[in-house]
Amino acid sequence: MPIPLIRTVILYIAVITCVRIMGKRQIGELQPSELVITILISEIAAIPMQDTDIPLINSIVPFLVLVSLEIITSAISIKSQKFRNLMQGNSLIIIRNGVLDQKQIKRLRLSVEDILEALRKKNIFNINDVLYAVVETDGQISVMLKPEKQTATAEMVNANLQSNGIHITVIDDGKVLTDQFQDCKMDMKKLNKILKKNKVDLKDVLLMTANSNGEINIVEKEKDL
Amino acid sequence: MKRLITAIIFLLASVAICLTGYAICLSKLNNINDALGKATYVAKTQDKENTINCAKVIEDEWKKSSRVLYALLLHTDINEIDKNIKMLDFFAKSEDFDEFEKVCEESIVISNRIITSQKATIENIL
Repeated sequence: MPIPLIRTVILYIAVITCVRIMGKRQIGELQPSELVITILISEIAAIPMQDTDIPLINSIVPFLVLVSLEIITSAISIKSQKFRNLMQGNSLIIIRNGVLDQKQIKRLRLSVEDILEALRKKNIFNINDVLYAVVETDGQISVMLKPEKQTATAEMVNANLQSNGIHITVIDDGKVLTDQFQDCKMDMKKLNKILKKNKVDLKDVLLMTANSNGEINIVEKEKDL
Repeated sequence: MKRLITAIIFLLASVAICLTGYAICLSKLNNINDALGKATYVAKTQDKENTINCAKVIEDEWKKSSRVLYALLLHTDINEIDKNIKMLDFFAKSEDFDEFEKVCEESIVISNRIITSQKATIENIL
C-alpha cells in the first residue's frame, strides 16, 4: 500500500519541477498551446499515480519531453516571428473606430454577443466608444477607447503628482523580511528606530509596509485573539 | 539561455533513457529467451536432472532481470512471464516435460511479443 504514496510524492516533485522549469509565464498568461501542455502534464501524472502497473519512467520521460519541447518552442518563438505566428497565431483587430470588422469576427468564430460581453466586462457599454479592440493570441480582448471617452490622466490635466513608490512588506507576522529592504530604503537600524518610535515590539506587529518616500503603515496584532 | 540548455539536456536525457531502456530490455529478454530455448531443447530429451538445472538457470536469470524489466515495462506483460517461470521448477520435478516445454514456448512467445512491441516501428507508433 505505500507504493501509491511514494509514487505520488515522486510524481508531485516531478510535476512541480516541470512547472517551475517552464517558468512564471506558464502560470501567469496561458497561451492555448501552453494550456494544452499543462493539461497534458497533469494527465500524464495522474494515470501512473493510480495505476501501479505502469512504470514511472513511462510518465517521467513524457514529462521531460513535453517540458523540453515547450521551452525549445518558446525560445524559437522569441527568435522567429514566423514561428511565433505559427505556434501562437496573431493578434487581430476586431473593432476600428467603433466599427466591427465582420471578416475577422467570422474568422475568429466570435459572435457579436461574445464581443459585447467582453466589452461590458471592461465597463464599456457602447461599441461606439471603442477606438480599437484587439483579440490577443491568448483569446483576451484588449480595448483602446476613443480619446474623448478615456479617463483623464494627471498628464492630461497637467497635474504635477509625485510618485509614492510601491509599499513593500517589511514585517509579516512578527518576522522581518529583509529581501526587499533596498526598494523601500530600509535597514535594520532604521526599522528598529521606527518600531521604537511607534512603541511597538517586533513580535506584536502583524504587518508593516514602507515605501521609498519613508511612508510607513503598521498593523499591530490584536491582543485578545 | 540557462532554461533552454536545461530543456536540451532534458530532451537528450529522455532520448538516452529511452534508448538505454530499450537496449536493456532487449538484452534481458534475449537472455531469458536463450535460456528458455535451451530448456525447451533439454525438456525434449526428457532428462529430469538437466531439466531441473535448466529451470534453476532460468529462474536465476529471471531474478536478475525482472527487477529492471518491471521498472521499464508494463507489469501486466512481465507478470505473465513471471508466472510461467515460477511453474517451471514444479513441472521439471514432477517430470511433466510436455507441460514444461509448453510453458517455455509460451514464455518465449510472450517475450518476443514484448520485444516486438518495444520496437520503434510505424505500427507500434501509430
